Amino acid sequence: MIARPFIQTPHGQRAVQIEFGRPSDADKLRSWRATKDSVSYAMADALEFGKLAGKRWRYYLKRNEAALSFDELKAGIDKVPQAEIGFLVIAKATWSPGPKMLGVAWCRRTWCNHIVLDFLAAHPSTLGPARGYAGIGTALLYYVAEIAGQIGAPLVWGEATALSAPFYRRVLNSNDILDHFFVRDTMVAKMREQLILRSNPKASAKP
Amino acid sequence: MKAKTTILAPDYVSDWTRELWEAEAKYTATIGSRLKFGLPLSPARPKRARANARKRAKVKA
Repeated sequence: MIARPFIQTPHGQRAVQIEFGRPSDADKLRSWRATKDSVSYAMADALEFGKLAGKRWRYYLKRNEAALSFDELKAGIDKVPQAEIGFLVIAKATWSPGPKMLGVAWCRRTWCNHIVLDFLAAHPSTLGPARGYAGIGTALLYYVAEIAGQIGAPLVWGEATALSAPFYRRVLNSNDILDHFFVRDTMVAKMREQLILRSNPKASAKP
Repeated sequence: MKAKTTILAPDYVSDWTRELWEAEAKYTATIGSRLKFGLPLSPARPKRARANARKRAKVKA
C-alpha cells in the first residue's frame, strides 16, 4: 500500500510517497544530520527520534517481529491475533534534489490491536518555518490512520513532545492534550478520507 | 503471484489539511520520548589508559 498525499515544499505543493520501510532504511536514518548553521530543539528531537526509530526497526527485524509491507502486517495478525508487530513508515520525496527520506514513523501494532506511534519525525533539514516544508507529519499520520482503519484498530496513540503538543491539540481539537494523545476511530476515519479526496469526485467514480 | 499494490493518491488538499500544515509549520508533529531502549546515544566515556601489570603491582607494593 502506497499513499501519495500532498505536502508543502519550498517549490510549492508536491506529492510525497508514503510506504512501509525496508531494512535498508535503518542506515538512512542513521545518516540523518541537522544543517550546519543552527540546531533548534525541534531538529534535535527529530534527529534523536529518527535514530531511535531506526534502532527499534533493527531490533524488531532481528527478532522477526517486523512487517515490511501491509500484506505482511495483515498476515502476521491473521497468524497470531495477539502478536505485537512493529513497522516503519517512511515519507520519500518524489523529486530531487532534496532529502530522499523526508520523514519517518515507527509504529507498533499491540496485542489488543491498537497502534502505538512510538516515534514520528520529519527530516531535521525540513524543520523551521524558513525551510518552506509543512505537512510531512500530517501525511504520515494519515497513512498510519489508513493502516489502523484497514486492520480494524480502534485506537492510535502516541506521546507528544513539549513542542508538538499544540499541533496535536489542533489535530484532535482538544485543549487537554499534554504528553499523550489518543486518536479514536472517528478521527481515524476523518484522516483516512484525506487520502482519497478528489477535486472532481464524479470523474474518478467507477462506471 | 505478487499482490497488487494499492495506491492512494488524492488530487485535492482540504481546508482541514491546510490548517494542519499551518499548525505543523508553527510547532512540529514530532512524537517520541527519550527512552533509550537499551543503548546510549550519548558519546561513550573516553577509555582510561590501562597501566601495565608491572606498574600496577608496583603501586600495590
